Amino acid sequence: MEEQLGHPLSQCYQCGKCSAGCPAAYTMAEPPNRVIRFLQLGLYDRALSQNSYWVCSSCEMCTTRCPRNVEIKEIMEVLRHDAFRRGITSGEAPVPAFHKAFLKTVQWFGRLYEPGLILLNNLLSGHFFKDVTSAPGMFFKGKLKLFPGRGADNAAVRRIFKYSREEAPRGEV
Amino acid sequence: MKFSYYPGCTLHSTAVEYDQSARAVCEKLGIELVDVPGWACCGATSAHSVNELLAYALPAHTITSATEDAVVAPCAACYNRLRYTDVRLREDAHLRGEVEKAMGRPYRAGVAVRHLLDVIANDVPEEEIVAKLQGTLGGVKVVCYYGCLLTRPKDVAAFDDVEEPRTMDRLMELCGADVLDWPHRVICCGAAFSLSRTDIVYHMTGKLIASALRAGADAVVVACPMCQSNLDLRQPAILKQLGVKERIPAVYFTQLMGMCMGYSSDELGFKKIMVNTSALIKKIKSGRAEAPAPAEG
Repeated sequence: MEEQLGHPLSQCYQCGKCSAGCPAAYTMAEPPNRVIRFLQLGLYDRALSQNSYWVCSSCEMCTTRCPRNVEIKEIMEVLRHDAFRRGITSGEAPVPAFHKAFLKTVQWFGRLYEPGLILLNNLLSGHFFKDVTSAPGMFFKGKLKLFPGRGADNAAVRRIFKYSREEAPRGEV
Repeated sequence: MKFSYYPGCTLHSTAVEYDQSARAVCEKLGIELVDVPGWACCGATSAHSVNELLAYALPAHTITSATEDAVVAPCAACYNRLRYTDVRLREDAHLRGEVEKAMGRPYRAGVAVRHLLDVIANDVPEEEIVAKLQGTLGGVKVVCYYGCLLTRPKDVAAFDDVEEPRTMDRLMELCGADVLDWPHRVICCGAAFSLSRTDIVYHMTGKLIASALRAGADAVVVACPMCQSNLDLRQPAILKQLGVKERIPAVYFTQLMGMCMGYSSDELGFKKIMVNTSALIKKIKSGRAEAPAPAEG
């Protein structure tokens, strides 16, 4: 299991400090220390079939405070990469849908383009009118631009996307 | 002092006031900013959520494109991704090889990745900052919010304490603000979930806003456009849910510093903040009138 994750697990002595400080633990089916416990016991599928790694905000509070230097946030990310690849949403479909929309806009424009992101996010998640009411206010404050910005090295960005998605040998990086 | 400047996506859109005020303050302090040519999105937080190679290759593109020996990022998320990428690529030759294949060019190691707060607070001597102040913040009460990524991970972002950072507090005190203590300086605002699980942002940011109001602050000072947008844009809905009538603006530390350097509030983009900032500006000005700064007299 440690080899599969690329992170050591055995130092964890289940003190629960990660879960105590986790700002998202309140909405997790299993708090971070229990996810680590599942993995220690080899119950990988059990860890993957619940929502905690999707609602983890990657704030790194857990890793920062761990007295045993277990890289909890990084382990959550390994689970997320695997779940994303395999299409496992664990009841949190809007979260991977957002990531997909975000990266599509970056792939197309090289930089984030908020109106495009909101539109694509709403299409992919099925919440068509989400946050549409706040757009006019932001537009008049000059915070939303009608067209995507220019200046990014688009060719370089497309190359990076293509290689990362298609050509990189899976599991090697 | 000359730095490569990586504004990041939000400073060209939802956080234009951070860009304006950052450039203004840097100009006064003699920090020259040169935009990284062809910079791209750092991918935070989506890239590192779904594809590890992408998460390193996007920041590596920007670092490699930098023309100076150090690149400064005003966004905490960009800073975290760039800095983390640089550390990982220097210690992991295999990963670096893959990233170089993805980029199609060698990675430029040795570029220092810095956050704007770190540069302003630690590269410019305190007396030089004081010499540029034409007015004070008039004892206005603020809480400094660092958010999650500015000081983490502890071995990677090492310019301040990971649990009790004070860099911004020190700058604000220097500018004559009454800096209050509060328990939420490094607790995450839920940035990544702004569009997907907005309820998480309401929950996390709600705690921050309630805490700042409880502390009696007139403003929350921030150094990250993600934090700012959650604290500002989502605030009316959050406070409605909590049944609170008060409002508290979230402003960038560069905007408050700029106020003391002779810039007008319009030049610093205060009007672009969704929560009304006129009471805050008024308070700064009336505070100044009551206790003029020694530098002015």
